[in-house]
Amino acid sequence: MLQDRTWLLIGRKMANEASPQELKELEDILKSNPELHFTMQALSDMWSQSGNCASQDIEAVYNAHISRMREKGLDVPGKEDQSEIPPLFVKSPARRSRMVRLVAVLSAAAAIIILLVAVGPFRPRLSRADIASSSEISTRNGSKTNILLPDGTKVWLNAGSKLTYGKDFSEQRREVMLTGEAYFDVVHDASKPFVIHTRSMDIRVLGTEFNVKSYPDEKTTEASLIRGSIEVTLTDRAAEKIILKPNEKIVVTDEPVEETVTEPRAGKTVPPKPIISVSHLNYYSLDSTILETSWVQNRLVFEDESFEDLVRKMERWYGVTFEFANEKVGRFRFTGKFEDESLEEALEAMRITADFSFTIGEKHVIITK
Amino acid sequence: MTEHTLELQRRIAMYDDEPAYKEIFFSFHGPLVRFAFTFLEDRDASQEVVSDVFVKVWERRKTLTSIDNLKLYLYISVKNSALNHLAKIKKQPLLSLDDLNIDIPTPYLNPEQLLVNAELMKRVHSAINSLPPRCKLVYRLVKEDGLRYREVSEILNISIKTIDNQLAIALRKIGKAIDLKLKAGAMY
Repeated sequence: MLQDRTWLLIGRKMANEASPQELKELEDILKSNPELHFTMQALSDMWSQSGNCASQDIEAVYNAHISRMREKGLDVPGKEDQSEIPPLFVKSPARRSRMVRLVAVLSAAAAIIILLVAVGPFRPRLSRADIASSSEISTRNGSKTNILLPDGTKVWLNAGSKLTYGKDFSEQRREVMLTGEAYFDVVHDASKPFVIHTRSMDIRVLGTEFNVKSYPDEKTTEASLIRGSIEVTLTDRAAEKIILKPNEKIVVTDEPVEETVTEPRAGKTVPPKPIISVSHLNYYSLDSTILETSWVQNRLVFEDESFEDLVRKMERWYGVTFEFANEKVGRFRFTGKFEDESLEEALEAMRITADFSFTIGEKHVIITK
Repeated sequence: MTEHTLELQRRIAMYDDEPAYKEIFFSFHGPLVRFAFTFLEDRDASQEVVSDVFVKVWERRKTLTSIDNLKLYLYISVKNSALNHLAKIKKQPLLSLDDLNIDIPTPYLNPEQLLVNAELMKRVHSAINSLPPRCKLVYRLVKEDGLRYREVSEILNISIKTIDNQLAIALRKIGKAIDLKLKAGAMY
């Protein structure tokens, strides 16, 4: 339960009145209350927009004001014999101090992000005649979408992803199959468990919000829990169930790793074990955005990631392919956040702290030293 | 804005610079009229009060640079002017901020970003509108008008602590409206 003090701190943060200690205090509170992140980001987005004031014709109002002054016999601004005004001395904006780690800069226009989760137009419910044996929704690289499942569950599908569900969804069980990445907001229904199948894990849910990532071209599958609780079972280890609590994530590495030599049982071969880790969600060091779900708010946030890894995300984000002409460049590391930058703007921003060049072709980018 | 505002003041003071005066008018007129309206509830009277304040600004243009915080000066002037006006008409002073009717601008929705949030924003807006007047006014001055806490404190004659508390109340209420999955019993 959040105290008054929390809201007081949020107010100060929004209004830019918070001291560094207060910001830190709020950050700590957010870490123990991950559900609050969503609300905070929504508030933050809402705060940065100005309201829609009935705009009068300000020019006309001003002229009326001047006329009124004239009528009163007062000195009026803008007389013809006004003395020469010296040329304006324009100061160039202070150079943004270089950060050791990169932060991508939002343009003023791009900063106006409307609230929360962008939900696209609802898909009209399919009539009985239209329902094929299964429904499939997929996204290309460079685009995301939102889905409303028949039971009311909301799914945000990231770029390069596919979600499939059968026509008997929501009759007995609610089952979907996912490749790629999706954020789920599952409607609570204890009588019908919601199950998500991915390549290496099955996730069983009651009513919660969480993120699942299982791209075919990546070595790991992960599930990050924001709210509620989920039970994860590995596809090849049905007996083992792992229950996640909010703010936890599970990462399964699919490629078997060379095990250190163990004594094999006589006659038995030991199957390679996938590496599983359960850890906390990651926060962007500069503003506490949750890394794992930032894409739902249309932000690509990364913390100390190698160029190589980052490029895979950028490929999906922008719908292009990348190629490194020089392997060393792939090892540069970046921390930052992209919101509305074009591909070119993003790469230029990254070039501020790393020495590389790039060429953008048709839908292909080449990175060179 | 503050550094730029000082520059504008300088130009007005030294050169009777009309474009600078016009720029200040354009920047502050809207919010000031809305602020005046809070007390007067009369569009014409509000425009008049704000116009009077801007007349004063022009009349004392030579010493305009002696004002450290023009924005604050304008708000306080408008408030005083409005209260004087009220006293003349209603023959009684404003008793409390809680007697006021505060208008909050509707949030702008970008039609390009189709959202279920049309509904959510309505919910948020309705949450804000149902705040008690004083709370709503503090919220609006801080959020819409971009005033600092100490500025609001001076304008409304309330303590920083009150501002902290009022804003906390407002945000908690908005937070509730935003939090779609608020389950019964779970409280923020």
